[in-house]
This record gives sequence, structure tokens and C-alpha cells, in this order.
Amino acid sequence: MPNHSHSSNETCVLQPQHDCSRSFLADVYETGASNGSAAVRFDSCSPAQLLDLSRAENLVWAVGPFLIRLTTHDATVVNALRFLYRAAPLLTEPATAITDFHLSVRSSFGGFTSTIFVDGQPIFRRVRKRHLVPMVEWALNLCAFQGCHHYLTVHAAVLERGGRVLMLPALSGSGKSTLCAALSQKSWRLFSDEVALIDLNNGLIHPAPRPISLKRDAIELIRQRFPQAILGPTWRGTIKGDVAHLLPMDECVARTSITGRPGWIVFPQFIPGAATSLNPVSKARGFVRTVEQSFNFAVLGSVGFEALKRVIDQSKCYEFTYGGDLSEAWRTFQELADRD
Amino acid sequence: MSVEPRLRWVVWDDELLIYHEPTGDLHVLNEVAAGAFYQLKAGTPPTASVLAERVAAALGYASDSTFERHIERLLMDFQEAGLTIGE
Repeated sequence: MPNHSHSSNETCVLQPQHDCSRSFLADVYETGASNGSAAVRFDSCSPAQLLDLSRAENLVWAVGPFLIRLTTHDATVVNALRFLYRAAPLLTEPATAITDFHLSVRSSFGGFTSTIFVDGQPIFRRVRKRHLVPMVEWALNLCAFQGCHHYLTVHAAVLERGGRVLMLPALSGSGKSTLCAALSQKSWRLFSDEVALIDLNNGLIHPAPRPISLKRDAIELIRQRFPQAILGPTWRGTIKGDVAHLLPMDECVARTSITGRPGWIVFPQFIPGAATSLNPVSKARGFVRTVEQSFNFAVLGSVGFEALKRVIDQSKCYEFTYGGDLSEAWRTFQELADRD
Repeated sequence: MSVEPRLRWVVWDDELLIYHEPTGDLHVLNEVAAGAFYQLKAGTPPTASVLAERVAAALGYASDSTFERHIERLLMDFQEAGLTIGE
């Protein structure tokens, strides 16, 4: 356990976000978690230590290229995050850290419900205690969805193999998370289950590995198909039905600073019982369909157009239909990776 | 009639993708529409008959009255989408 104390005379080890923070974050991911100079593993701190930090607004950890600060007095939330982000770098000098997002969870209505704030703005109100953890996770999604205009962001599952990135842009309910979970358990490196972060300068894609939110039947499917997978508890009756989180592999988190170049953009569709099929989509149509899943293409304007153009230039586009046979799905993507 | 200057575009295979900066709209043009767009961009008079002739020649099509009507319709679509400006 590092010493989290600090004084106003201490030299700030953190740099502002964007370009200069990247080298800092690279250090955090590649060396910090092992030498303790800037960060430690999240789960190297005890629940009590983490709760103390979060009460004092000093619980700061890295999620992908972002630094998140959490403030809460709720031990359930802190313990859950300790499990879900166990391999993530936790900053050892959090007080002076310039963070990208400040998440806070405050009790309301005598402790029966809570309100979740991002950067001081309430985004989920009257959240029941039993749904607090999945809602905190969704709040973290919203951070990446709404607040990162230094990337082109696309609602997509993202994985990497051999340095090339597979993007699966899709609406919720398309089977994206299930497919992503299955691929991440079998030789594909998880970048994200929710958002593609496309670098505006060079078109590279940045990893932001976080727990994969599995819903309803997908929970048992993944549990049975991949017994080695680490899943958290099932949160029943949320607004999206039953939800459980699949942890990213520690190795994925450790390699967060390693970006990938675009390789494939595949639009998945889950149709129960359907035969597995993979069909080419033209690049122009692929572009339009990707924009349909982008959170900020309209905000970025021509900058976004140029960034996505770079990505599509390097990618092959397909649409993929599957009926739930994950083995066949995995084989299809293996062949794709070997062929293209 | 001339091509709106605030456009960005890219060609992939036989399709032209155009980004209309003022509205943020995207347009996918097939090879005939792309051919007409290029002709306009190159300063070809924006009349359906001349455009039809040049596009047909460039793509190896026969330019008949049906093709000319198609080009005429395309010119209206371009105008409506803001890809061209002026009369």
C-alpha cells in the first residue's frame, strides 16, 4: 500500500490531459503498477483504504486514457469497483491529479436511494441501492460517450489481434457485448465493449478496457461457455434487465497504452437461430453506418470526417449475422483475421 | 449552378462519399451520380443534355432520353441536397 498522504509543497507528478498526459498514462500502465512510483493496482488497497480515499475525494484511477475521480461514502460502490477494476492503475498521488471526470455518488431520501453525479451534474437520480453499481458503470459509459471530443467516439465493441483493430459498431441489443465477450476470451485483446476512441490526429484506436456489461441470457451463456471467465454478481431487475459484468483480462488492462491500427469494421446483428454469415459492405456504406453509431461526429464536423476517412481507408467492412453459436462466430473472426 | 465549395469527399471503389459541411449530411453517390458530380466540378455546363453525354461517354453508356432524364433528376437532387448552389 503506497503512502497517499501529500502536502501542498509536493511536486505534482501529473500533467494536464491530452498530449502530455498520454506519456504519463503510458508510464502508469506500463511501469507504474509494478514499481509503485505513480500508481498501484486498484485491488492492492484494502476496501477500508479505498473507502477512506473516496470519502476524501482522493480515489483516482485510470480507465483507458482517462483519469476518473470518485467521491462516495458508499462502501458497496467502492468494494464493487475494487473488484471490477482490480487491475487498473490507482494513482498514488491523487490529490493533485487533474482528472478527466469526477464521479460522485450521494445518498438521497434518507439513504434509500442515491444520486450519481458526473462533474457536478446529476445524471442518475433516485437510484435504488441494489442498482447502484450497474448505474455507476453506466455513468462511466456516459463519461466516454459524452465528454471526449478529443477523440471521435463510436458506440462499438472494439478488439485487437495482431495490432489490427476490429470495430463492431451497433445499437444495444444487437449481440455486440456477447460477441465481444466471447472474442475477448479467445485470443482477441479487449479494447472496449462500449466505445471506440479514434485518435483525431492519426486514426489509431485507443484501448479503454473495462468490464463488459452482459445482459439477461448472455450472462449464463458466457458463464457456461467460458468457465475461466471472471464475472461479478448478477444485478437483477435493472432498467436493462439482469446485468453482470465480465472482467477484462489483467493483461488487457496492462497493455492499455498500446494503440491499434484499424483493420475491420463489422456491423453485428443477433437473430435467434439465424445461420452465421459475414458479407462485405462497401466502404462508403460502412462509413455512413459507423457515423450512425458515433456520439460526436456532428460535433467534430470535418475533423471527424477526416479521422473516420483514415479509419475506413485502412479497414474492410462487413455485416455479420449470428444466431447464438459463439464457436462459429469465433471461427468466422479468426478466418477474417487470418485472411485479410 | 456550381458545386458547393464547402464539401469534402472521398472515393472508394465505385462510390463517392460526400460530406456536406454546412449541414453535416453524408451522401453516397453511385458511379453515374459521381460522374455527374465530377463533370460539374470540372466546370461542365449544368444542363442535363451536355452532362448526360459526357457522363455516358466517360462510363461507356449509351446516352439516350432515359439517361438524360435520369441526369436531370440527379441535378435536382444535387440542388436539393445542397451539393450545388445557384441556378
